[in-house]
Amino acid sequence: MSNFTVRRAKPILGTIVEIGAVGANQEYLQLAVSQAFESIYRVEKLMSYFDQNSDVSCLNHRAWLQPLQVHAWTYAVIEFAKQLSSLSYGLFDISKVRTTHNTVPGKTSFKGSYFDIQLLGDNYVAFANPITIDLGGIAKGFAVDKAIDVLEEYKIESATVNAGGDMRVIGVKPITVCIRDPIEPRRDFKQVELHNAALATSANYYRRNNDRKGIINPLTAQSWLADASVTVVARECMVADALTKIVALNPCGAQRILDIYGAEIIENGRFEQYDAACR
Amino acid sequence: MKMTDKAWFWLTPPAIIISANAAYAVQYFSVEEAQKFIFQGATTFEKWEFHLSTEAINKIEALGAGRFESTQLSIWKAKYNNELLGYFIVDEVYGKHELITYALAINPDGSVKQVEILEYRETRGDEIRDLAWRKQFVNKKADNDLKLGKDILNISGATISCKHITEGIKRILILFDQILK
Repeated sequence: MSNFTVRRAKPILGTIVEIGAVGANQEYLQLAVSQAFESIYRVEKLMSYFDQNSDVSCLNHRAWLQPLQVHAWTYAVIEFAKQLSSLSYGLFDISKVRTTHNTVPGKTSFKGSYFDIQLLGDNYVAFANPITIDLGGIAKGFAVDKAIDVLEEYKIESATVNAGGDMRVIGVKPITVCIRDPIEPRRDFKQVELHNAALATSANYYRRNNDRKGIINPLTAQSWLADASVTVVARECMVADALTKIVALNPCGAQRILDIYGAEIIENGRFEQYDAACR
Repeated sequence: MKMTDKAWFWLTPPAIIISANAAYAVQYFSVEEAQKFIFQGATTFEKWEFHLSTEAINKIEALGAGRFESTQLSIWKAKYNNELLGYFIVDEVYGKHELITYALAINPDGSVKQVEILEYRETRGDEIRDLAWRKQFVNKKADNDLKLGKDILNISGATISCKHITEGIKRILILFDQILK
C-alpha cells in the first residue's frame, strides 16, 4: 500500500526544514507536503524576531503602548510560554532571550519579565512594561507541530517533519532517529525510535566559536556553557523544544516539569555529567 | 539500553546499517525533477547561457549579499509554448562543511516563486576519494532513509546552511533585478 516516499527540504525559520511523507499517491503526497511547508512559512511570517511585519515585532514595538490583536497561533505560543514561565518560576522566559533590545522610538531598554505579558483574550496581547519578547526558543517546535497537523488532516499514513533538529513523526510504525555527539558531531551518538512523538535538542557543539549566546539563564543572565547536548522527547514538538532549555539550565529540578508534560530526557553520554551532579 | 515504560519512544543499541544509498549525500530532486515539479505544465526549459563578468560580480557583491561561488549560474527559462512562465535557477552554496545545491524559481516579474533544496552533500565529492579523510567516517552509519537528524539536520550546521542559501537567493534576486531592468 505505501509505495511512494516524498522528501523535501527548504530553508525556513533560520534552519533547514525537512518533510518526509509516505503514501500510495505521489501527487497527493506532494500536495500535502507543500501545504505542510506553507504552515511553516506562516509561522516564520508571524513569529520572526527580525521581520518588522511579524506579530512578534509588532508586539515588541507597540504592545507596551496598547493591546494588540495577534494571530491565534501567536497567541497560543505566548500563552504556552507564559504557562511554562510560571511552572519553572521564571527559568523559561521569552522576555529574556535577547540581551539587547531593538531600538524603538520612545522605548528604552527595560528589564521586565514574563509577568509583564498580559493575555487579554480574543487574541489580544499587551505588555505592562516595555519588554521585548523572542519566540525563538519555541517557534520552531510549534511550526513542526503545525506542519504535522496538516499532514494528519491529509491523512498521511507516515510522515516526519524536522526543523534543524526539532522533529516530530507520525505513523503506525516507529521511526529511527539519530542524535549527534556534541563534541564530535560527525560521529553519531544515540539512536532513538520515535512513535507519534516529538524530539528536540539543544546543544553547544559548534557554538563555542560563534558569537551567538545560546541558552541564557533568565534568572542569572549567564550563558549555558556546558559541553553537552540535551534532548527531550514529548508528544508535541513545541513542548520538547521549550523543555530542552529548562533541562539545560536546571537538569535536576526539571524532572517535575517534565512529568507535568509527560516528557522525558534522552540520556546521552555527555549529559551523564549532569546526572552525577544531581546525586 | 535504557528501558522505559513509555510506549512511544525507546533507545536502541547502535547497529550497522548497510545501504546502497550514497553514503554522504541526500538528493531530494534531480534538476529535471525539480523543473517539472515547480513549473508544472511547462513545455520547454530553455537553457540561458549566462556568464557573469568580474565587473558584474563585484557590483553585486558590493550590494552586500556575499560572494558567488561560481561565475556560471545555471539558469533556464520555463516556457509554455512561447509564454514565459518564469526562471529556474540552480545555485550552490556551502553550509558548515557541506555543499548544498538548491533551486530557486522566479516569476516573470522577478518575485520568488519557490525554493527547493536539490542536494546536500558532506563534501564536494572529490574528498571522498581521499582515504585519510574517509577514515573519519569509519563508524559512520550510512542509511539516509532511516536516519533523520543525521545529515543536514544538526543544529548549527542547519543554521549556517539556511543563512548561506538565503544569501544566495538574495544575490540572485539582485542579479535579476539588474538584468530585468
